[in-house]
Amino acid sequence: MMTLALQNLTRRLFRSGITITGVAVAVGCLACLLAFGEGYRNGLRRELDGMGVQMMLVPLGCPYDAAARVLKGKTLDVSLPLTALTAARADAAVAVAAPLLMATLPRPSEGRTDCWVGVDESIRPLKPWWKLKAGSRWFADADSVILGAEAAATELREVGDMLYSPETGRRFRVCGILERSGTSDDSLFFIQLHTAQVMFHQPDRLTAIAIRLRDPGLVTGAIERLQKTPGAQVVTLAEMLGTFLNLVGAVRTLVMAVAVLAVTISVLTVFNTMLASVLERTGELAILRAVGASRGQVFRLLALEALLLTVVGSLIGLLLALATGHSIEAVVRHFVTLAPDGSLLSLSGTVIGQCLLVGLATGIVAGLYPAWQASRLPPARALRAVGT
Amino acid sequence: MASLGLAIGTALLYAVLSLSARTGDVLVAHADARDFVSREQPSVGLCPWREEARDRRQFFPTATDVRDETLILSGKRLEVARQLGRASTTEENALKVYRILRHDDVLGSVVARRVRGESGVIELLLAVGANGDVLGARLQRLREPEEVAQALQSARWLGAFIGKNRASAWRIGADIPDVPPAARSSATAILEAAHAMLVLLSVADSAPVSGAIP
Repeated sequence: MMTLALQNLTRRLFRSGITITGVAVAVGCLACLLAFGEGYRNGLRRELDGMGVQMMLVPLGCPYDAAARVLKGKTLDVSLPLTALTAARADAAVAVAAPLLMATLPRPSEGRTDCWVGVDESIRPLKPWWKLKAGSRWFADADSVILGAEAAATELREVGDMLYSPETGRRFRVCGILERSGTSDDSLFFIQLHTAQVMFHQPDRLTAIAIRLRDPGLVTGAIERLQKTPGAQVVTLAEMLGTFLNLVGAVRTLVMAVAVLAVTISVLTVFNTMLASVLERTGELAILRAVGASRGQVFRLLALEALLLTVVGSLIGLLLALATGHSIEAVVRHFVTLAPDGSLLSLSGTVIGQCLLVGLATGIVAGLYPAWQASRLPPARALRAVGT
Repeated sequence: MASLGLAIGTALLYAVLSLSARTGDVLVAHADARDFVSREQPSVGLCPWREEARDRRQFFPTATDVRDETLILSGKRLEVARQLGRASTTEENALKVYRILRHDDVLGSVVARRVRGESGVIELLLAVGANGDVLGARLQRLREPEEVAQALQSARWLGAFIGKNRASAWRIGADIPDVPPAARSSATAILEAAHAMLVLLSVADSAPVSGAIP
């Protein structure tokens, strides 16, 4: 039957070629759209992850003022108990909870303020842009300080130098200097959390807890649970996250609309080809029936022809997407000048599988009716038609 | 039909790309915000004069005006290096000088410089007379422990600068009073900086500097 189906398709090579081309273009288009959709979503997610913090636990008060103050490296008038950190770290949705204790020491005669930040090791995953200059290392002891690039330049400090805090009488050794990042971290003095708590007389207190979730999608549940922490409230980067999710959702909807349209056109093309083929081959099919072919055999033959057209078209479409994807990406990048870093084309196994499944489904849907029509032809009537 | 599909598909793809471009705005703002803050700024060597009125009253009580100049010394590097006894640093290619005026007469100059102290930056301010002698010195800012800060800011120690010039000896413990051992490192850095400032000022004033920016 396969041979017969192939012969039928190759007998009308031009028509078959046009149909296969239509399917290939549709599947190629679908593959590219899905791959770009996935790649863009992944890229944006990477960028969001790169921002480190997704929500913050801050003391009760105006949450947005608190978040703005913490993000800008300013202190809060109230503080959190250490138990809030335990609660945050125990939450299943929380990947990283980093405690922060911030304190400022104004130096009005110099027109500046020293901002000291107590941190622990957990801050590092939340600050992916942090790069320590050569010779730097993480806190060696309670008297170590890591300086932001601007702070080090202002104080003319290098790794190994001493740094004195006249207001608190503490002396530190510079164990690390951060490379310039363009963030407020550049002008901060980072010390160990416990040291900061002792230095600023805030035992077991925190200014804020920076939180990163295992998955941004878990944000709603995490907020509900963490809001119950006594004396604390959650501030999310909800606006940004919401905007991000909405835009990606809108893009996905449009992409799916294009995909549905392409597939529909592909189905109609195959349907048209097969129906025309049935009408043209009425006599031929009647002879088949007359020589003993069952309705089921005729149905399967036509269905197989439709499937062959779509499978071959789908494979060519995928090859087309693979071959031209990177060129199309270059064009896309021309339009989207600030697209996320990394490849936008994510032609993953899932995308390829989805495209092949859609190709098969197209063949089945498009071939069903013509095959059914062909199988219902009465041999005698068909032969009469041939005779006239 | 395939062509029609292709045309519609292209139109929709363009719409998707347009929307994606707007999606990118979120990142634009992010990137721009970083750019605004992250510009490298010249810091070493440039030191502000923080309390101009107070210092003028103290060092130049008859002054009527101040004019600041930025002198470019890159053309005199050999002379600077010869007088310093070492190669000049990049920041020593320029010198910000505050000319102290009494009407049209120059009474002297004020120069300020950031010095690497033992425990943080020290800002040294020198008032220099028209003849090149030091009229007074002040530490505008320092981050040293109390004992060290007291020694370095004492009238006895800073007062010893008065009358000295680029040709004077600046040895600690001999020409300048000694300081406690804890302050020795920062004191040495201050003396080196004071001498360097006088050398730079002297070289700059020895002949017109082509790059002077009034």
